[in-house]
Amino acid sequence: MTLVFGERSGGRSYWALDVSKPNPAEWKVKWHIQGGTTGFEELGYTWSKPFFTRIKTGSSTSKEVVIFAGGYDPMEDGFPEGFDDQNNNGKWDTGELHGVTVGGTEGYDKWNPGMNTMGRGIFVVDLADGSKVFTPPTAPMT
Amino acid sequence: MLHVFTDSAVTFGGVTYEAGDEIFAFIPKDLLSRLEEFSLIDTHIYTVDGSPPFTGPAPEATVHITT
Repeated sequence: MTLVFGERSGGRSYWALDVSKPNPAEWKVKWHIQGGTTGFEELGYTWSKPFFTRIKTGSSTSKEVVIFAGGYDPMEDGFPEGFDDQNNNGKWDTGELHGVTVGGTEGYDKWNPGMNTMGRGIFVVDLADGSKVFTPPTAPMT
Repeated sequence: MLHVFTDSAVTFGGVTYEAGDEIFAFIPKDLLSRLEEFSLIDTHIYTVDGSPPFTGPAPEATVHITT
């Protein structure tokens, strides 16, 4: 039995614990996925609740997987006004272009689309070892 | 921190736990370096904050998992 959890506002990780043994003292970390590492560059803060299922990997083979969405980018906490975060500190600073929208996020990050890759993906990973099985292709941000 | 509680009396490794006792806790490695922040500032620090679903059949003694 495997327990998988993210960290929501706490961080960009998913942790899988092997909780098969009755005695909790024997439970082990099965795998760990860290957002920002190779293959998981776009994984943001891990708000997405993991979904367990089995997918076909061939005509007669299948694999147990965990599916989760790309998470959250705290840069978007800049609601309601979009700004060009030139020094990438998450805050609007004097001199950085910023927009004024009424009650919405319409103009958010319009000058800085490259910062929006965090959290846009969907990840399918192998339940056995946390390796990435599939992630949908993403178009370049324009 | 991830917390696990038992809802019935159970014995593990010679230690007996009553219903409601905590039987397991886990702090992810990537959050250890942030624990000192609890003593430094007044605002709440988010660490392990996610829902913990699990696969497979439930064990005989039901455990309740929270974060």
